[in-house]
Amino acid sequence: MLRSLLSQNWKRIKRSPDLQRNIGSNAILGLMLLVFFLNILTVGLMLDRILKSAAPDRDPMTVLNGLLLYYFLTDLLMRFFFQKVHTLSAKPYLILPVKRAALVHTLLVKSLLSWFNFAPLLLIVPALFSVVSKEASGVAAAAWFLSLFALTLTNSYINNYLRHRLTTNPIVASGIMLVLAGLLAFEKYNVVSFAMASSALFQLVMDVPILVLVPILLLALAYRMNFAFLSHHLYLDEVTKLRRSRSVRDVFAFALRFGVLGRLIGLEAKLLVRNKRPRTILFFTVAMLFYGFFVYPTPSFANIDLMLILVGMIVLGMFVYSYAVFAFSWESSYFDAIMTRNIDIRTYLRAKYLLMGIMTTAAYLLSLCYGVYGMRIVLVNTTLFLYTMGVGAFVMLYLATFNRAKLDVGTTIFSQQGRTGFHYAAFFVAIAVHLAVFVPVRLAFSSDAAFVALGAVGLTGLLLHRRLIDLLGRQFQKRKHVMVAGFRST
Amino acid sequence: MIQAKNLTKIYSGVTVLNIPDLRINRGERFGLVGNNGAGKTTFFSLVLDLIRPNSGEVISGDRSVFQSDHWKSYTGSYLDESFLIEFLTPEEYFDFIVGLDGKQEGGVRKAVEPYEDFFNGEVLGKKKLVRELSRGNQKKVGLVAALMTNPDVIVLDEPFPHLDPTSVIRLKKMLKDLAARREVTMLISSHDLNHVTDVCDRIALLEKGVILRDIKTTSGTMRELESYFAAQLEQ
Repeated sequence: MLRSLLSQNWKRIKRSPDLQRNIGSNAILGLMLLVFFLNILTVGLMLDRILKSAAPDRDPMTVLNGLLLYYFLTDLLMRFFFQKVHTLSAKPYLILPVKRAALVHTLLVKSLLSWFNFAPLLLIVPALFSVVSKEASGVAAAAWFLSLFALTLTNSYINNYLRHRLTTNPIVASGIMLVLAGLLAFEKYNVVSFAMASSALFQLVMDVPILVLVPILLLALAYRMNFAFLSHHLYLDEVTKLRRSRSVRDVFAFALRFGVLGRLIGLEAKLLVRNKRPRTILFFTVAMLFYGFFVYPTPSFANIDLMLILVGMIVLGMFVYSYAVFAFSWESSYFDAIMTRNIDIRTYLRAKYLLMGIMTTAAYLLSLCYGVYGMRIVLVNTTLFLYTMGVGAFVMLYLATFNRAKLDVGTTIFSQQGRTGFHYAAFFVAIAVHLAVFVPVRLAFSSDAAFVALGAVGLTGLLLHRRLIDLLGRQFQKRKHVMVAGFRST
Repeated sequence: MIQAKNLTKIYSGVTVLNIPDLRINRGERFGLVGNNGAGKTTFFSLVLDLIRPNSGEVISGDRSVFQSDHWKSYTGSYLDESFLIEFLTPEEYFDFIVGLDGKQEGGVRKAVEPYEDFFNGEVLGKKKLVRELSRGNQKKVGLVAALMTNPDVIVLDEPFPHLDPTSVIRLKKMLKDLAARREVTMLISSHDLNHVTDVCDRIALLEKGVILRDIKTTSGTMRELESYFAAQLEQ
């Protein structure tokens, strides 16, 4: 029974239209995943050296074990945002003569088939050789490995359980984030060292290998909790309720005061907040604001112009470059409504432009904090801000008119649904658009002059934005029917 | 009011619609019947400028729908779910639509008021998103959105399926009352010959993209249409 259910599930994956249609973009994604995996693998193999250079006076094994509990908390947080919970795919089976218990077991086993559970192995297994095996016996290493894997799977089930129980995801997620931040603060001010607890715990498992039973017991417990919950709640009405959003409040009522333009922005804001895929983009936009902290403090990076442009684009332009390529396909499920209602196309496009403007300006204002790493960074980011809004946003909106794949806003951004090859290209186009202005001036004059040129071109675009929106409107009218047809096809 | 001139639409070599000349007068209730694939939705999509014709044009008022957006200010339409914004509550959706209109006085409350019976207490004030409503109620939301802005032209594709019997009767009454009150041009397609002859005063029979009959509704219309579709069985 379990086997036939699992094989049907495999067929569902194999026969999904996404997998069959976009061979090209799947190939690109495959390549990206391969690079990503190779990266993790390398980190795993070099882990002993990395740890030694990070903390030269301490034992790599202790340092690694100290990180583990933090790792598992972060893992849980990431799962919370990105890992799917498969409950709804059980729906067709509910009416068949399949034992409820078998169905629940299938669901639970199936939920383990996730990158979140296997990608860590790419790090853990090499670390086993590069760090653990150098200090511990075979049995101890095995116990270490098993307990890590068991905890990874436990996390998977904890995530499942929390997601089933609680519909208010953001609150739980913020809760986990707060705990994480609190622990880090305690660590920093030497109140309680969670890292010491962590390394002591995992050292104990290595010293007394039989204790590996504890994580395994935890795993069994988490499984049992999920099983009990799902067995009692796997009913048609309850399963669907699990997906229900919370009570709806209109937090964007203020936008309605600004006429049609305000209404369109309000609508788009609701689209962003109430649907999973755009919501993840929001999350990334906020997360990427912090990206600068990884680069600016290192002078050898901060002196490379290309690096400054890239980081500036990520910090300031994340929203524009990840949202605007889909500007129209976000609305694919109701595009006909927009096209048949009394909405002037220029107003429609201006609403999109303004929304990007609001997000980018907010990001720019926050990025001023990077002034602590020198005034130059602020000036560079100012030119990049002007360029993003004066040129980048328009290039992205222009590209978006060629995008006619229907997009399901209920999926995560990792979903292949609605992607075509050029979405991956969009970011490279954005970089190219920056370099097209930057490089010639840089070669002819200086780095400063090149940034000034970027800013000047951006400012020109900003001043001419009405004219540019008119031009975009004409392009939109040309492509409109192709988009309507594309968004309608399933 | 609506005129189709030499209108053709071809999908991969097959002509799915071919209407050399069709005039729908102001105030006419024009019904379109035909089997699946006859071209009803294609015709409506052309009227709403959602697809581009291979030749010819649709004229609404005095200008082609392809050249200008003027028709949007007086046309209300509902073809299918893609006219709904599923992540809004029905109230927010109506509010959005009324707000686009600009001229509406009294706001969304007043605009929705006449339809409260039609909703039967299942749609408004439920704190549900449109995507969480049943199909019948989703359809009601779409139909009301098409009607509520008092348009001069109403385009409805298959408005009757998914509605419960009471709602079908209410909808037919609403459309007939509306036509009695002011001069509204309606384009309605349906599989159900009964409903469409009840509401419309002119019926066109579409088959494989061609209008085969175009008749004023009389007491004999129903029989004529039924005998046409019955004859299809024998072929």
